[in-house]
Amino acid sequence: MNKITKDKITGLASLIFGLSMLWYFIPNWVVMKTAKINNHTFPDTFPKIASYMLVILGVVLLIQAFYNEAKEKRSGTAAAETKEKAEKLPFREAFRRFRSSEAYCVIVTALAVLLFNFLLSRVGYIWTGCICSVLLLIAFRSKKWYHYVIVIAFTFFLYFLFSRILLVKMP
Amino acid sequence: MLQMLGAVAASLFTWQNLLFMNLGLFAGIIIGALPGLTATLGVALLMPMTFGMSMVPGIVLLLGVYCGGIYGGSITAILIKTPGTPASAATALDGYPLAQQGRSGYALDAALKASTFGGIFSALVLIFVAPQIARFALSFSAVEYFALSLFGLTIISSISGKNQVKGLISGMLGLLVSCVGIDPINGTSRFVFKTDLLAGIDVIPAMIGLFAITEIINKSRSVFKDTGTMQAFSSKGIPGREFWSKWVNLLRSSAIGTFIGAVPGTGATTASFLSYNEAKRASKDKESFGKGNIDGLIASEAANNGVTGATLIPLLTLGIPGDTVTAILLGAFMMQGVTPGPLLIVNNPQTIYTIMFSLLVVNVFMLLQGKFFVRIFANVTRIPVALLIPILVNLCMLGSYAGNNSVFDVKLSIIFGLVGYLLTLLDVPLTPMVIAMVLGDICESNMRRGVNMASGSYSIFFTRPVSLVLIIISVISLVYPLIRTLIEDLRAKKTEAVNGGEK
Repeated sequence: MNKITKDKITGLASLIFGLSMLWYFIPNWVVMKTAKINNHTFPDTFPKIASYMLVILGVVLLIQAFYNEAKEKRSGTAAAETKEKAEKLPFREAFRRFRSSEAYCVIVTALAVLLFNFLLSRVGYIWTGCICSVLLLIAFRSKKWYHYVIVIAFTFFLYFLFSRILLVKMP
Repeated sequence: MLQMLGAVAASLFTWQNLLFMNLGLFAGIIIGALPGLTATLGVALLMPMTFGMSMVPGIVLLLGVYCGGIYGGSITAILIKTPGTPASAATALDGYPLAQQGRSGYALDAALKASTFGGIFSALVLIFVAPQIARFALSFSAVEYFALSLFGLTIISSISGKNQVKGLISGMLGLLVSCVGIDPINGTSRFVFKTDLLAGIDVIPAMIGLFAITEIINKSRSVFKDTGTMQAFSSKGIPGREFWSKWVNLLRSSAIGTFIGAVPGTGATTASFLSYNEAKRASKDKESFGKGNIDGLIASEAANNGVTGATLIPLLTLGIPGDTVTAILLGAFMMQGVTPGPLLIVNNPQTIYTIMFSLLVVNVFMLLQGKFFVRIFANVTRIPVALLIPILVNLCMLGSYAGNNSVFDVKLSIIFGLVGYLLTLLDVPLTPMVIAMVLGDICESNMRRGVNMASGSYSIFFTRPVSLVLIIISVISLVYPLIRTLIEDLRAKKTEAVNGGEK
């Protein structure tokens, strides 16, 4: 994704979020019942200012992105998008490549974090910590047995530290 | 004063404080030495450990992580040309060539000593300057506080990141997050969505999400990548006489670091590059910079550690965090039931002086740990990322839970982490968002108090001198980058036209 596309997405998201705040979230989710007692500022004053700013900044960013795009086109410096023909790979090969890619690692880590949240209140910290850590190591294809021992030991160490020393009530 | 010093020494030199300080330093150096993990992440990860502690040991532990994290980045910058933290990027320019020449011990020793010098210089400035600013700030009313928080917000948004508009968008998102919960003036609820958000979004899970989870997801991208070849370790350090012959460079760089650190929104990376350039400009041997000139390394390290004490100046005196680490520290203070600001220094001088002096002691211990454990720290880079990720995920999740013993906070930190990661993909800086989350409450409540004081008129912010000056600076900081871009465009067009005419 190039810079201009990123700017366009950010600008558009800011604009949409700002407008949805102004038209939906602020009118529906800011309680104004007792606000009239204080007659100069209201609970929605500040969120409204921030939302209007988001709308304005979104528009500015969009204008900036389109201006930069036009400027690049004029000067002919726009990076020629080389549309390479997608290499057709057999599914197994494509999957093998994906499993060594950055995207795979990011997805696996994000899923592990979500799984942690799902399991925490259901099976408690120790099981959650051990399951997530071991699954992450398996997903990262760690072959060393002592890595598994280290992460499990670390889970127990953290449990001991927080529950016994820092006196946190663990799930 | 002597009586105060005695009391400070008595409360600082307890075995708990010294133990936690050293543990924090050790952890901070290790985190800093791991490429991709920053001092901010270190402070965010270890903050939950301070929940059960009293204030001084807790803050001292976090200061140890902060200083150690900034120094730790230099170890990998020198040995594998991969700065552990962005603040050490300038260190790699000359540190790595020195290591290639077989002088890694020399470079590491110089980095350690320069870091210690910068850190102590900054701590001394903090000790002498902070009380004066706090005394001045005592006369501030809601109007000045609003202007001050506005100044903090705008300057951070304008400086951080390559695109100022994106910085401001990030800041506005942070302000909206700070609005969640009970309204500070009227007491009505806002954006609670039938959830547990009545008390607002807790800063700790939000910060763990935005900094720790985002950084961990980013770090996971390098699971299958090679960490680079480590240069051989040599034990011969820099001779004392040679080091002290660089005193002008040391003083200049520490002063730059301290000045930069005291300005909200700048930070250690800016300071180290600025000092590096200044050292190069002042040097008679400019060509050797980038090829292993020790002056470049000293300048970078003295400056980036020079930032550490200075960033605490706006935090402790005005209650305004200048960067992400101090925003997290503010969260740690608040967790202990203490709100930093001028009143804290006046009403509770012993605690605050203890914290300020602890920064001096932290730097002395950093020198000792760096001397004795440098080999251990250097080997940290050998830890595979695949092993690191599960450990960090565990620490993050437990940290966000432990603040309020709440599984809901874990959910919050995950949401912030995923949103933070998406924002970084779009090049939206996260620092303004965090600072705005912390400053939002101060900004809103003081703005509304000021307007209510003036019976609904916003002109009150322009009639008081301090407030007016701060608002003018805020506007300049917003407008200046736009004007600069326009001028650069015009100049480029002019040059193009001249070149076209010549042809």
